[in-house]
Amino acid sequence: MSKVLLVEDDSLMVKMYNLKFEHDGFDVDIALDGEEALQKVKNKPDVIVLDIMLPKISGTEVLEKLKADSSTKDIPVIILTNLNVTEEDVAKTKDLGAKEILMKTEVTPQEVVDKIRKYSK
Amino acid sequence: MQKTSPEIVSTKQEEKIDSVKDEFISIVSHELRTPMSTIKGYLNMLLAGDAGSVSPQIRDVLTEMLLAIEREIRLVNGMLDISRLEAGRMPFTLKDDIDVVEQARLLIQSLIHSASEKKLSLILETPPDKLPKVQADNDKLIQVLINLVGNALKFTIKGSIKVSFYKKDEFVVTCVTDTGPGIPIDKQSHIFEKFSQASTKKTRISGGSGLGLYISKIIIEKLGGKIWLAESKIGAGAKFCFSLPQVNSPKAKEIANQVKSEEGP
Repeated sequence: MSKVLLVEDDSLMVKMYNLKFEHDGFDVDIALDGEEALQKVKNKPDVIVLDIMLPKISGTEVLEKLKADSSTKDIPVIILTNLNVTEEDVAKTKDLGAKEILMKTEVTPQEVVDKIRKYSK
Repeated sequence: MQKTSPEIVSTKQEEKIDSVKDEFISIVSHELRTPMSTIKGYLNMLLAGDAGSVSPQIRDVLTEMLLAIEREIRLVNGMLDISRLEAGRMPFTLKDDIDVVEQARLLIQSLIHSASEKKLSLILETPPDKLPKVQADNDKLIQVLINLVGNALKFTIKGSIKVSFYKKDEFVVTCVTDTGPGIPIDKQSHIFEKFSQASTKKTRISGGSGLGLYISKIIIEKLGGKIWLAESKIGAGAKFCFSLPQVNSPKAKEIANQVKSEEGP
């Protein structure tokens, strides 16, 4: 069973994505902020779903730290955000190492699951 | 030791104010979008059968709820765009190699399916001669095209939507012509205003936010162009046009300087 680490501080979003991911057969681990994310990545998830706006340290900083560490740099990261996503942002996150950047208001939970499946192969 | 001059101090203050504005807008985006994303997510899950099979009556109700929340999301997006544009906190990334015809072609390809669902033809009229490249922010150009073509698709019940182009002075003009209901003369001068009766009444019926043309106007004018209603008659459709400056034209250079000075180092 594929393991997903969901990094998201908002309880509404956490509950929804947790429900969907578990329903679709994933083993879900949750981190409510950036520091917790860096702790929980030690459980070796297959994919990380990462929000950008997080308390303590931002999603971008988390991504940078993940990519700087040889034990975590190859874990695929999918970014889920509420902020407007421009062409530049997509290029920047790809530069930083994320596989995808998705807008929460545009993408359906099924589409997120499809992306997780795509990158956890 | 030299004291900091008043000009440097006020630049720092300006930067501080800008960063407070950005933070405010980010927080508001986040707070407004989160509950809406959650509702939309659950509705999509229910419609996909994740909670079990759904009767046709329930499916209808869920679909209406989804339309309503999507409309709210569009409205919030529009209002956030306006906040950022009016506060001068929407960065413009100018590129000088933009082929408007090609951008329109890509957009039309992505909308062909929606058009054929409504039995409308969506046509790109390739200009006879190759048009010059323009200077613009590509994402914002696409936003304006989506607004105009999207509006045309929304309001037109039958017939066609055509995107055409021409060169005038040192500008490339893009026009979107539809065979929809048209715009009454007494409303025509108000359609580019935000929340005016003319812009909201009809769009509300078809699910829009009434903000798209206002946002498009701010964007095009900031890029050095103009946007206008070229023609419209009741029952005979509407033709909207916008212009963008050719690369290396005097207007393009003026805009490039303006954007550079606004964005700072």
